[in-house]
Amino acid sequence: MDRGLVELAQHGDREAFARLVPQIADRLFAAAHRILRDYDAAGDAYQSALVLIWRELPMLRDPDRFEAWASRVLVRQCHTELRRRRRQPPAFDLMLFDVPTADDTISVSLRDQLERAFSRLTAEQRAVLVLMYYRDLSVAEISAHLGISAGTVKSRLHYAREALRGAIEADARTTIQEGRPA
Amino acid sequence: MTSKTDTDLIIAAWLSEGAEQAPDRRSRLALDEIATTPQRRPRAWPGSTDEPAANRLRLLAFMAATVVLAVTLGVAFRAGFIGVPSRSAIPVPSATATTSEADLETFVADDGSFEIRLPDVWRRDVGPDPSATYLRTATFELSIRAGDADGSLVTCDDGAGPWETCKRVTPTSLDELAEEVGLTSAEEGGAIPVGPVRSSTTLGGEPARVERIEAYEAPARGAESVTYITAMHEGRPYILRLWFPGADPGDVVLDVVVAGFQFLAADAAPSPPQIEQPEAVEGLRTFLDPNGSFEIRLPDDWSATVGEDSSALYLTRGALSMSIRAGDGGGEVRTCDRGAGGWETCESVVVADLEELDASIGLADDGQAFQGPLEWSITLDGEPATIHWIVTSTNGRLSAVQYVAAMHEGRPYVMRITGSQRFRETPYGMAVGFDSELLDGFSFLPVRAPSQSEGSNGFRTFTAADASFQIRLPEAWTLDRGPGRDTLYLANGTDRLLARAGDAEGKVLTCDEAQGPWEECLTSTPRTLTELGRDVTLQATSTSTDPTRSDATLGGETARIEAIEAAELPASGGQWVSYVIAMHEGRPFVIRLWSPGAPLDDDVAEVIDGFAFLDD
Repeated sequence: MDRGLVELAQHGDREAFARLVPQIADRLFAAAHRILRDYDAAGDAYQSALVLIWRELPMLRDPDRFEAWASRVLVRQCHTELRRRRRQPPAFDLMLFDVPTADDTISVSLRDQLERAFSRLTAEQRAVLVLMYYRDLSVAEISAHLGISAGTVKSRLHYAREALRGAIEADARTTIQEGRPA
Repeated sequence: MTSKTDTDLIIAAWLSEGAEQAPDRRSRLALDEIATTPQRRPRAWPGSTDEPAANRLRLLAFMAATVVLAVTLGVAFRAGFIGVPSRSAIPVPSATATTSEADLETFVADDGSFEIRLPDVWRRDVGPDPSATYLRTATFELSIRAGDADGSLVTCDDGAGPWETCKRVTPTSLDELAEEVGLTSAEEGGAIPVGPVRSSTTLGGEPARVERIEAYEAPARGAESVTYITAMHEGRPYILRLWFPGADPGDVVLDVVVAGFQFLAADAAPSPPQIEQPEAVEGLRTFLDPNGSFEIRLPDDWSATVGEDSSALYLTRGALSMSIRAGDGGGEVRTCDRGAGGWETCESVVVADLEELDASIGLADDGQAFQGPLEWSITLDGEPATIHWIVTSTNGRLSAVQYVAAMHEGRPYVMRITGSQRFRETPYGMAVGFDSELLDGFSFLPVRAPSQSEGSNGFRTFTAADASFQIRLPEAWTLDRGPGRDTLYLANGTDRLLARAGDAEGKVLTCDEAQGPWEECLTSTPRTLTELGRDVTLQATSTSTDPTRSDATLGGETARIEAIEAAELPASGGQWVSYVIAMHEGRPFVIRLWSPGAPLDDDVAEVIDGFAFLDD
């Protein structure tokens, strides 16, 4: 991350901020998409996060921590987006089908179970999972990204992981009962 | 039992699926908004860091300091050391807005009670309360409510934190209204509010109160603030609620909101005619076609929304949206407003049966289709119908477009459902699609059409399709056919009469086709007779006389008559056109008479004598 651009943007240089955006855009959006599981919702969260990042940027004390701080703003916006969308609940129950993926060991029903379990997690719990499993960050790095203690990271991770593990096991039981190959 | 390693692998594999690239459009929209968004500078607690926990302590210290300062100021004030402030904390906005007029967009309340002009980064949003107006930018959310006929309204949909309570209130004064707004300084569950801070302003010329609270939901959710602006206008309460996901929204946006708000006078802003919607029953809600050709019952979290075509019913729920159109008796219908991509085309078609209608649905595989297009047969309220369906994949996101096509009593019906949707069973296996329960609530309604009575005493009575008016005329006049739905077309020899009322949004097309350069057909959404008159004004040209204008009374309402005589040389000869226009209960009414043979003065007099508005 270009510290000089961050500092310029902190002092109100919109052009510098516009040059910063491409450096963080894909990572922020990919995280939002995985946290919210919806392309439009992720777009809303990402877009509003960028505006907030610009607005709050002068409050950032250490420009070297820009990306971690931006991730925190994004997670907050994901939380907001989830809350907003819960006021307008999704129309139908989750139903899944075989989307071609790199890993075809994830069956339709397993994906269904994972989606259901994930949908019950808070944005903060989802964020910890995404940073751990998708971004490959360590507990310490997640702690720095989200501005929470390592203990909080671990407890959220434990809860979220257990929820998904339960989903995976439930799917395995169903598969065995139906006589399908596990 | 699944091992830990398996669990981690599965979670990692599952989370690896998804979009990898940020959509350029979103980045561009954000940068557009940033162009007019000021930055927030450190001020409240100067030692602020990037750590929420540290900020929380500083926030507490700040609050304590605020209390000390308030007590000190209070003591000083009582002791007479400090005078009453001469200026409210929220300044009354001046007319010198920095945003140019071209960048402003006007949003009008559905009930016509107010309008608000805001920079074009604001857009309409959907919320749970159909009587409220919801607007938002990428960060701000604004809801505006006006009291109902009893002066009753709900203060908010759901509280942002324990410090905000939503309830229905019926205030009779601004003091009562301001008191009912439910912001408190209650701390609960780690939410630490600052405020509420109260001040005064002026909203649309009325005294108004401003109440703001800032809260910090520890430890992770960060700061948010809620600002209420309350005012009374002509005995009716108004509440504006501005939510911002940060500690200090600043006064800029609040000033813009206040400056852009305007009450609409009762006589100038009548409620547009509303389609009466039955009450929700057991979690269901029934939506009526604007033209009364069908109804659909859906879960009550669906809501009606506004679309491009006033003759269509638009509904939305979360990421789903639906449009339903009923064609006219001539079999004409438009399939959609615009295609979602290269795989979908929209057009107006005239069809005679379901087979022709099916052939008109414009879904095709342009190379981006993930599945489909496919068709299968169903039954829609007892009529044979066809589902047309396609799934596309863009940036890893699957989205579906589904049509339901049906014919009923010679009219085509087209339902279009779009959105990112989950998966369901179809005749072709599991696929992205929509639950068929959506269709269970659909009902065709008896088709409405203009009618005429039998002749009696040399007269007959013609009634509009929507039963909003009738005209009693000599029985030489008979029903005629024309291109407009819900328009009363009459003919008497070579003379023609067109009579129509504004639609559910108060919109009316002044004529179907201009007879010459001295006449123009416009779509008008007038609030007053003057505005309607502006859109039906006839223009003098080298081939016409000067138009004449006179006042009249139509069905008890003030009306205006516009007339012109023109000659289309060399072939068409002379012709006469007269308009009679009026407003009734906020709805425009246009009657146009045309004759190629004689002045229309007598016809206009007969129309005025025989015309009656039909209320309820």
